Amino acid sequence: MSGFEMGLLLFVVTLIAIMLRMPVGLAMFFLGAVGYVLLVGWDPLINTLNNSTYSRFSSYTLSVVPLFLLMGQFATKAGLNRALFKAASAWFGHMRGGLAIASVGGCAMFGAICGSSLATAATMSQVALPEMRRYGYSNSLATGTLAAGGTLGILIPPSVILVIYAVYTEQSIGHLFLAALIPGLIATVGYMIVVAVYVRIAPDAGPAVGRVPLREKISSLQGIWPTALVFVVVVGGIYLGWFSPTEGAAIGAAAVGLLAITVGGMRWQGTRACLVDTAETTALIFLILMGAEIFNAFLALSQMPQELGQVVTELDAPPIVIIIAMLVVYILLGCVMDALAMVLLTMPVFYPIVASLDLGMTPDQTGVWFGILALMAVEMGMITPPFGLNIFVINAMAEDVPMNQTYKGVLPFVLSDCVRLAIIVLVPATALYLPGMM
Amino acid sequence: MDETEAEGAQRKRLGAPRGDPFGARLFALSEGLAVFGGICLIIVTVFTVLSVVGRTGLDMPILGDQEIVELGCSIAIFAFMPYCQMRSANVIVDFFTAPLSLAARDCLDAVMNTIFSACILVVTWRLAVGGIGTFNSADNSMFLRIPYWWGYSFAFVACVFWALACLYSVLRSVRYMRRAGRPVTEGGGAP
Repeated sequence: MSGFEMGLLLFVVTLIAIMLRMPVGLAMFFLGAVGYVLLVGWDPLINTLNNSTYSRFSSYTLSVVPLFLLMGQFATKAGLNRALFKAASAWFGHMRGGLAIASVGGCAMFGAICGSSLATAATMSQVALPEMRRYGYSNSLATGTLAAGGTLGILIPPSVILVIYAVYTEQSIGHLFLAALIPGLIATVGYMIVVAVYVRIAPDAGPAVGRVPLREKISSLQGIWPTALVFVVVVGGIYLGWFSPTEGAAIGAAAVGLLAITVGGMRWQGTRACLVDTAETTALIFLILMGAEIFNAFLALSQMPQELGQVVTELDAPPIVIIIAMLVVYILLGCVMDALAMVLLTMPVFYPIVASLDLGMTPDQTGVWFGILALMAVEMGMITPPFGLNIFVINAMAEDVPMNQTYKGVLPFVLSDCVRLAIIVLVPATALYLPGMM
Repeated sequence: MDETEAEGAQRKRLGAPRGDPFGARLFALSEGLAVFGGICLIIVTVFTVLSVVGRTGLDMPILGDQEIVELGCSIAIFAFMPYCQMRSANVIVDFFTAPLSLAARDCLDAVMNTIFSACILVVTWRLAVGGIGTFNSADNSMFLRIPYWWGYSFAFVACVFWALACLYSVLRSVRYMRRAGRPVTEGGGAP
């Protein structure tokens, strides 16, 4: 069997193992190791393992991941979710569907200090869901908005998936963060438009609440500045090279942690809760990273990605068609699979192909643009049935809402995701303008 | 999607096992380890802030600050692994097996956890070999001369717990399989 066939075969076997409930990280580790042994033997594998695990877990660039996760945990304890939603609802609440629009705005702002989609969905729901239900919002609109709004947490930088994409494709984290900004804003506006159209069609779904006096509106803005400040310092500082992404994440975590202690009244119990939640999420990410290390080493040995790239090039299809085909794969996989796992599983195969396509951009531009596209495509998986983690989280919080109502509520937002993806495919400048400007 | 399907598609996160002193102790230990790792992460955070302030504000850079971050984060991350395992929080795809009976799913879990245990045992073994290698060659970090075997030693200890947690989860899936049912728990979490 040639290396190419072996690579292809084990890739398929890995997918099957994942379908049979093997943890994704383990499947990549185990079947990558099997392939490694078949190609070069047992001794090289165990020699690689002497140092590969430790060097992966002690990597300076990847240490940004637990730090950003910790920052997101502290942000809830600091009550920033409450302050952000309050400010947004003061400005938008009087409109029809206003609280849903405010939820989208709150999610977007919370996303600026939180790199995770689930955490954003869960924390914003804590404050927004009871309010929307109190004012008689329909179940579909309320849960759908929050599930979709949660994805803004990862689209708007900082973003854990972008960090890991950057590390694996050797792109600059700062560039990717900046590139995600305009697409993130397009996503926010897109979701707000969805809500506005939704309540135009079904006026009862989102009644307006009383208008808030201007004075109160302005004073509500005070709740926003800590978030804005942390975001500007962290993302700006990383981009301008004042400090490394790891240092930026540490500064952010320390600042938000201080807020949690002073404003949020966080004490030992609260800190402990933040730590174990961070522990759990960090560990599940690093298991996948550990698996990806061995899996990628095996795929590189098999030469499968390069040869597949060759095959794809010989197809002579327009590059844009190939990109769209990859995005479709992500969207389909996303229906059943976790976003980060998908990125790590496919990147060693997809990225060499993308890099070899002639899209009329520099290689770095292509890398950044594709990173944003891939991020958006995999994030759709968080809200597409049947396996949409955000939907589950929201649904667990609104126990009396049947699952199919949440699915129905989320569909218009999926539509807006598709439109946005098309915009960014057709106009790469939406992603590339900001990083190219400075 | 009805109730059981929703439950099936959801990732299980388990709490401390009841009526099982060994399991409960292992759970408490791994949780303690996770908190310890978290404290290391906080120390890294504070240290990094001081280092940035020292470098930009006071013109007093800390030489080799990266090495502290690397050591601290590796301790934290290794310390997190057993807890995640005890909680069964790893990412799995539940969609395709949802039509199967609970017992069949638990049977699959038992097989996967057995493979998991074997893999982590190999990882632990090679970590020991790698650590002894760095000890013998007296490899140090560049600026602070921190011996690499320090990091390896802690990683080894944490991995022993991780392997134990894996072996325990085999036992747990077999138990669930026998009883053909498992405790209902909250939903999962990933970024």
